[in-house]
Amino acid sequence: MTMLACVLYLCLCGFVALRLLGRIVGMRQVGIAMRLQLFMALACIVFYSNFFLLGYLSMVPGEGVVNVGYALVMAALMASAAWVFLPVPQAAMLTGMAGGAGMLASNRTVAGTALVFAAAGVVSMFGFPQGFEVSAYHLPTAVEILRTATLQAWDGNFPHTFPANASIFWAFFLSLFPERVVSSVNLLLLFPLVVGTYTLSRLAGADRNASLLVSCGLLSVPMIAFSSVELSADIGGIAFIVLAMSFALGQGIERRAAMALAGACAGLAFGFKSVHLIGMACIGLVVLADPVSPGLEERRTWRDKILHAAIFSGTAVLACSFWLVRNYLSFDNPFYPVSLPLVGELAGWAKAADVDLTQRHALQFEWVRSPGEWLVYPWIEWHVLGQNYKHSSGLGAFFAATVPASLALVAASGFAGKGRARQVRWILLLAVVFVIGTWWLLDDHQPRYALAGIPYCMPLVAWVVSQAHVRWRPLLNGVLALSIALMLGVFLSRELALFANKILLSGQTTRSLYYEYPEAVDALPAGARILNLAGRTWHYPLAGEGLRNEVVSTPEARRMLGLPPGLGTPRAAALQSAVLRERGVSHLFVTGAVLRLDGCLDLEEQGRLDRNPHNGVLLASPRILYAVRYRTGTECRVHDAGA
Amino acid sequence: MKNLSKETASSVAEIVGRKDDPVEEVPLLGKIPTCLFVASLLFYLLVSEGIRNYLSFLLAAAKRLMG
Repeated sequence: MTMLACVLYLCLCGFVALRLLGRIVGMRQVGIAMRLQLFMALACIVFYSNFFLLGYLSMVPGEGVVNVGYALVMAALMASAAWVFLPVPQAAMLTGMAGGAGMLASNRTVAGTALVFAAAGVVSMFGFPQGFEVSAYHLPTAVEILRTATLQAWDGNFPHTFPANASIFWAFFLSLFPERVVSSVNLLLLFPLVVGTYTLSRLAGADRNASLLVSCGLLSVPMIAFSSVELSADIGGIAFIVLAMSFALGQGIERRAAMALAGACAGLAFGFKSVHLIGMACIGLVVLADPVSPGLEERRTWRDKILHAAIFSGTAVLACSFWLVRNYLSFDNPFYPVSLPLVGELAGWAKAADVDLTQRHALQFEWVRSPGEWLVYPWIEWHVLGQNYKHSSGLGAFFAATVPASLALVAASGFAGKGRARQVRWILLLAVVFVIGTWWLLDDHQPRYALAGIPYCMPLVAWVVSQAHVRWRPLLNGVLALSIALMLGVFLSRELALFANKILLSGQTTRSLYYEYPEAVDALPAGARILNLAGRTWHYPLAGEGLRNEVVSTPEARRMLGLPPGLGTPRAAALQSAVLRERGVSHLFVTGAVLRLDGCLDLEEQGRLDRNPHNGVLLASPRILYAVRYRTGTECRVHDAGA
Repeated sequence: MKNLSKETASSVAEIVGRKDDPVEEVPLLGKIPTCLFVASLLFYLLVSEGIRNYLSFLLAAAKRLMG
């Protein structure tokens, strides 16, 4: 029944998006790529808006209403309104967009890239969702949404308080598909990313082939490719920030509608990743300055520009308002756990006490040996553990071959060309500088925090490719296709190797075998609450088959047990029965932590995994699931009550 | 909704959807992009630790497969 509701919900979102698209496009001759982009953006906005409204409703204590059933009712109301008030022939719209998809697929590089990602998606469906942040908080937050039917933070620890658009997305698809299939749903978000990049490339004056080539080149960046088969929030974030820039610079639709769409997409991007505040600020400046002149006869006045900036800001705030309101009410800071410099201090917003910035500068030494090495990182791609290509490492051959040279060429030929395309190139170049510069100034030099700058580079590459002499184009296209093929080959072979290792050779086909936890976790009674003392990556696996177990996070466990605040795995812990009983803890999961009991509780081992499933070697720290047994003697009850 | 015709005339549609797909100007950069891109790609292939580690990984996998 829930699956049917999910399918209907998607259909209704698509229907409303088509009607809105018809209204926005009207009689204008808008190209297919722009139509696709509009449709995707509108469908996502409709998709999220219902859940945000339900999130507001669920703020009433005890009223958990964030679920697909209620969302379907709201979508049905929206669809009815669209049916009555927006009478447009959606069949024609669908035909146009299907033609656009066909056009894209007719390009060999595009078709090859699509095949690689489709194969990677199929392969990853044999396993289960993977990734560090994914297991640590994106998916646990999704499970919490499903469990509580609210959008409240999982607990007060800072990683669990970020805006959670990604988790809403995963929660929805966990309701629709089996968990294995959900492993690949991030691939869906590559579509808006590619279409937005393509449209921006055309706006920058690149030809069609170059625009398609760089759109595929973008997907060959290892950080993007590997993120797409994990359920990371990065892909959604950059997809929406690219759409926002594309609407802000585009001129094909009515300007106020474009500004509203740009703002809504920027707000959604923030909901995926708070770091996109930087991108929002950048696009806001573009909108305010509005340097892309539509034509001498239609120069915009400052009044127009301020109105457009207000529309952009208003819709941006609206699209992320739920997270701002929730975090303000819960944590006294709308951007929690981010502390905005100056503004936050002036407003007196709370700071997250558990955010440890002391190691921020040192984090970069996972990727470089000295800060100066960032200048050559695209070519060197060093990694301290040799994990050069993964969701947070590696820019790949296409990037190294094209982006630095293209940025230099665009800057050097800055005054060449004419008209709007030249202005778009300049804006994109400045946007890249803005994103990379802010990334540098913030001093947290994890490469993926600068990911938003990469799609802005691609239109500049496309323009440079377009400017190559026609005699050199076949060679140039061949070299670029080769570099894309090389990185996609690396990506796919890594995924195949993981599949061969875990599924074919080791036979880790069940959930407990795949995540390597004791099978007993999957057989716990309904209502089991597991205190996780084993580390953050166990948060999601411990939810167990059918996601029935409730998990107390490791940082929360540290708080409960009076350990110093932090995200690390405790090495030792003193268990107090009063505290555990009060929080309803029924089970305990540990991987080597030394435990001291207070005499009013006992631990009964329920499951244990002490050998590496790949090679049978004994693990240094066995993974043990205990059931907590509270003693019922008078002394313990008095002791617990007194505590 | 003002000035629809003028706005349409300078629309994205003309850029995004044009059939003949002309480059906006006479190509400016001649063979420079090809030379720079090829040089940069070769440099990458020579110095990238990522590629080096990947080749080691492939070699190890091949050895394992061959027993």
